[in-house]
Amino acid sequence: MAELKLRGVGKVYDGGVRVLSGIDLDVADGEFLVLVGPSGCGKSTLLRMIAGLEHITEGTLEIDGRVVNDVAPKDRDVAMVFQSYALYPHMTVRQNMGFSLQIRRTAAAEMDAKVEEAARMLGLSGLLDRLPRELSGGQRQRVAIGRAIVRRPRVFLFDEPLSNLDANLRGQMRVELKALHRDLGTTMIYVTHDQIEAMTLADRICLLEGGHARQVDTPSGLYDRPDSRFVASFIGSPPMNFLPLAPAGNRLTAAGISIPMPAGLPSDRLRATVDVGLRPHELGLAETDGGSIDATVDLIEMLGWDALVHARCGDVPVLAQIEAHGAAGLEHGAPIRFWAAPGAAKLFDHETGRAIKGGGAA
Amino acid sequence: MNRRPSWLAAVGWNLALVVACAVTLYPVLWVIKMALTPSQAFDLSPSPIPNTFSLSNFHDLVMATDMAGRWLFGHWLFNSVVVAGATTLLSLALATTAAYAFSRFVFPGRRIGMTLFLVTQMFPGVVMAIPLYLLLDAMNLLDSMVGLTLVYSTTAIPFCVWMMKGYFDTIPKDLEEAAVMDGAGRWTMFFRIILPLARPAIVVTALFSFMTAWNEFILAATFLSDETAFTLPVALQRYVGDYSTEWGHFAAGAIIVSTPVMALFFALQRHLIGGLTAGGVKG
Repeated sequence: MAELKLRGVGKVYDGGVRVLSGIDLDVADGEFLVLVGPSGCGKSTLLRMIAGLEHITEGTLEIDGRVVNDVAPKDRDVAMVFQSYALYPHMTVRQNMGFSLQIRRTAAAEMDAKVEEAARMLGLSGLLDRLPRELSGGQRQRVAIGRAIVRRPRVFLFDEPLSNLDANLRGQMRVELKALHRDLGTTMIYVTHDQIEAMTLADRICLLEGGHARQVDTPSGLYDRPDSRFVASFIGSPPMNFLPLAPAGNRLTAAGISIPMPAGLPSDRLRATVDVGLRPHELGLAETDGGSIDATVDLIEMLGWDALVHARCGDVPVLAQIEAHGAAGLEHGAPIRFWAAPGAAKLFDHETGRAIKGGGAA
Repeated sequence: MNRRPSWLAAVGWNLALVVACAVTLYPVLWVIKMALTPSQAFDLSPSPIPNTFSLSNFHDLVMATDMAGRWLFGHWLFNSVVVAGATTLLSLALATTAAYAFSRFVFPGRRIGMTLFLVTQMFPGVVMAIPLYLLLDAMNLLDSMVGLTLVYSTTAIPFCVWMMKGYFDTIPKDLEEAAVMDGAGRWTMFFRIILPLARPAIVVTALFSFMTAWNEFILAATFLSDETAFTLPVALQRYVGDYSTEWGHFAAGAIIVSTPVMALFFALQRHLIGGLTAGGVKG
């Protein structure tokens, strides 16, 4: 059990390449924090710095009030699960899981008990004498997790642990990880590029981009109150639509589009162009007073009970997620009018991408 | 679907293989024939099948003694085994550790060090015979197994380092990072994770070092003058004289010398398997 404090943490490699800067982050005891972001955003590097596998070149990292910048990985009492599993190929599952205890000179009986307990938690009891190559991908990942939990570290680090698994197994392991966190109650830091994993697992998410922490919030906070266009576009699937619109009186408009101005936002505070964000499921075919978009159907993806309608309004792509029966009969080139859910529109500065929030209004 | 090779092609291939085997085995059979023929004369008949069967050549060779009644073959065998064994151990110990450093650490001179190792391989051993002779003489290591072991190790190590480094490079670094997280230090990591996974490379390296030392003739003949200090290849050469050659003894000796290498090769070949790291990390 531990809390972590990162203050102004940055990473500059020899040769001057900067991959992280000014990361301030508090992780509470027992929290499940997810580091998420696109490839190359520095999330894995940050995790490896917490593990001690990468040197912290700027700022400080505290675990339970003690600065550990120069503490060796083994003395930080953290365990890590690697994307590649990194199981020792020549050791059985039992030896793999017991390796850290053996190094710490744990008595054989105690070691066996701990390994068997971890194996029971992860459903590996029957596989203890197998070699990694005799296991399936999901079983290997479980062994990797088992290796981390046998010694009950203060912090668990996960580096994209599910990205090598197929979709079904990934969903199943996600649930198991969530349950594991509930049962162990240990602080966990989890790196992923998959925003669904981030949303489902996290107590809080830290969204990184270009080496900066863009927003740290709960999953619903990120989804409902994104700080910037980047956050809004990264979180949520399918991704948010952005329409470049011009403020005109109490409406935001463009050719074929007219959306009412959100409450508390006088148009004189806005620039000539504002990016209006609407999530695909916030667009429908039934008339509302949330504004309308006139577009042309490009193509339809039927997903079962709902459908994705790809359309164009001039040059601007518009994606709507509507119920499948509403999409039946729509054809390429047909005109379509989408109606936005009232109050759904989020505004972002066209230049900086920062969210524009109403003056105190909800 | 693969086209099955035609009957004619199969016969052709097998015939070619039989011919290749015959060409390869013919000299070997000849040596065996000479070894089993008690006369020391060079048999001119083309047949490689022995027409007599006698172990007298082996007996003469193994039981040879010098004027002082010392059992020469025992000395030679002992020398060869000790020199080859020591060379193997020394080369392995130094090459695995050096190769690991070259593979994993960044330090000044890393690249040039590997290049220098390669450069030393470009000179034939004979070129080094004179300087090495002078060095050994200065250190009083002529006619000594220690001297010969050092010389053989210096020739074997560069190749072994290249060989081992190449293999270490293929072992995923994730495994070491996992070991670091598990609390292992460098040595634990090296002995418990890296070496067991590098077994095929270690076997090849050991075999190479052993064979280098076991078969080497020129340097040994240069540095050894005392008959009891000879290794087997040097001793064998005694049977090839300026005026006469004892072909029977020579052939028997050749068989005795090559048997342990063959035995070693057969014993170790089951370790020469790839895929030891399979299953550890997602490929």
